[in-house]
Amino acid sequence: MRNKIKDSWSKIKPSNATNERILSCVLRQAYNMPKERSNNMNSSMIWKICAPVAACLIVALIVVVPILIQSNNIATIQPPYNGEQDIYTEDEAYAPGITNQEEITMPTPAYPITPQAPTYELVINSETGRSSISPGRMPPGMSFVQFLPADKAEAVQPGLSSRFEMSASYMYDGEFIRIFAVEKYADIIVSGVYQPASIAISHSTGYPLDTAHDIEPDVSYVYGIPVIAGSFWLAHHYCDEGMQLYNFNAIFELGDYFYRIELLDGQEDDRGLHRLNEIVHMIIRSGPANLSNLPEPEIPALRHDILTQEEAFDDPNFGRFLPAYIPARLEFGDARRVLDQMNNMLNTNWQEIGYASIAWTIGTTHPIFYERIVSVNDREKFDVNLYTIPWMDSVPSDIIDYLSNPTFLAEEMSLDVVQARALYSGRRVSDLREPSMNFNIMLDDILIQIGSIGVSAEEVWAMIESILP
Amino acid sequence: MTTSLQRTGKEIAEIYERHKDMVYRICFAYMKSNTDTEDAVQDTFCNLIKGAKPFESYEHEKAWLIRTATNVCKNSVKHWWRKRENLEDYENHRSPDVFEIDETFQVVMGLPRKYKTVVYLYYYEGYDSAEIAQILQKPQSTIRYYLSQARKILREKIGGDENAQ
Repeated sequence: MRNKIKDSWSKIKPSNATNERILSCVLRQAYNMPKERSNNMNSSMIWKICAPVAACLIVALIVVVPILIQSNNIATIQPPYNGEQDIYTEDEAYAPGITNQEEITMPTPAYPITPQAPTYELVINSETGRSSISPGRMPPGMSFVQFLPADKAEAVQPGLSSRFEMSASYMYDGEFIRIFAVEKYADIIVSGVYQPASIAISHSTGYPLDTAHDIEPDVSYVYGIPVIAGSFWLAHHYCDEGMQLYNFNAIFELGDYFYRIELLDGQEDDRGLHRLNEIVHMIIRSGPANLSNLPEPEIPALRHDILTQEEAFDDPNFGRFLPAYIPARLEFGDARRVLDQMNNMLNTNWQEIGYASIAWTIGTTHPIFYERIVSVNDREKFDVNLYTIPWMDSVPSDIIDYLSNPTFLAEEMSLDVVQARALYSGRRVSDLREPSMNFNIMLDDILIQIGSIGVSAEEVWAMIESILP
Repeated sequence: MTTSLQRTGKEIAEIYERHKDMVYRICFAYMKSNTDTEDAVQDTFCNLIKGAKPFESYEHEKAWLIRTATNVCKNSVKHWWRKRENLEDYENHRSPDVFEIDETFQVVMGLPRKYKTVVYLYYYEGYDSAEIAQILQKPQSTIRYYLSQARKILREKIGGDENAQ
């Protein structure tokens, strides 16, 4: 079995092209040159965009403008926005497949748009997959998210707030990364999965959002704005070859910003294409974002500090939950104070190198730990001595989560409970001499996570007892 | 943004070259999607740069990358926007025809996420449970439990002696 597994894993490795791509991104980040990547995108986009735009302008002058003059059915373009509402017929509107209304009301464009043919079907390019950052993805531990209330969201990107929930991402130094919007009320369910559309808006010179194409992609023009749209097939689990799920996406530049739209859908009735088409048109029609309307970011506190033992004990939030008693054979390992939008914790550990260690993590509680609170009366949920190894053969499935990582209320802790968590099993001699154990203690709204190897139940209990009120 | 940079580009490239396949496999086990895997690999090595952590040895370097890659993937899959997109299904997507996926690998990838990294480190990288526990900072008993659970599933689906080395 080992050989089979090794052989199968050995086939999984990045291609040379992938390696080059990843390494170049890493090195760019190392040298703090995010613009270079974006500039590559820009130069590529310029070649893709300029020639068609020029041709389009010529066509507009020669063909479309005379038609506009002669026709009463084409909307008059009235930039800038004057607050009035124009009525467009269905042919003049832009949401193929979305509406059956005879008439729909659209806001007058908020910025100059180029007159085009009355319908704007996107040309969908076949893609090999995304080669860049997914919308909403950010470097972990480096950024934070600030949700935008509807009025702020509307001021930042008109036309989206009623349908999309919007947030802004920032680096911890306040640098804007991107707007991310996710569909609120979409009832699109594909294979039992809710599939809202998402939109990312970033500075042109910020984080590029590009897509891999085998060949030079065809460009669609929506009100004169070049749009590159595409789709690629997604395998839904490895064995489910019958699954037809596609990623539909589009990128375009509007005003000073890059937009990327993504959604997942099947290909039945071209619904995914129609959804993408509708959203692209909605955004372009509404006009570019105005990031000057973004509220000032409320930067969360950020700490990733390595502390000495003394500094850890002096931590005003969590220091008092560190054990006053520590077995003499255990030396202080390290302590790390972590505070960001997701975490607020103090990680510490003590160890006897090669023989024993205990990790003592104090933090604010996460909902999952409430779900695993175990009463000491429910011994079958936490006493590892009741079960034989392997647990898969002896532990009921509805108990396994509790038994693996239970949470106890501080007032119910006792030596007996700790002893019930002590597992004497393993290949090393020390595993048989001293137990390993893990569990959590909830003390008011503070959670203490304890994991130890080679430390006796009596020692662990003495440590716990030293912090109990 | 101030970026801490204590390694040269050449050093970063060397570290990347040494561990690229391993980090990629660990990330792939979590992310399944090629593109998300690439993001995770990139984030892992970016953390290496930003942390500017000194390593005592190549083994230390390797262990740090394993743990960081695991954490990057965990953070990524629990990120709020992925949850909204129904994580369990979205993350299982991948571009077709990139790797040769054999039956064994399909079974391995079908394991619960927490087992896959352990299986990879045990069977492919050759770490024992104590070393895996140290790298992943989990109790050794947990690692042994993960391995035993994974073995049972693998034995049922692949067959063979789970203890075969």
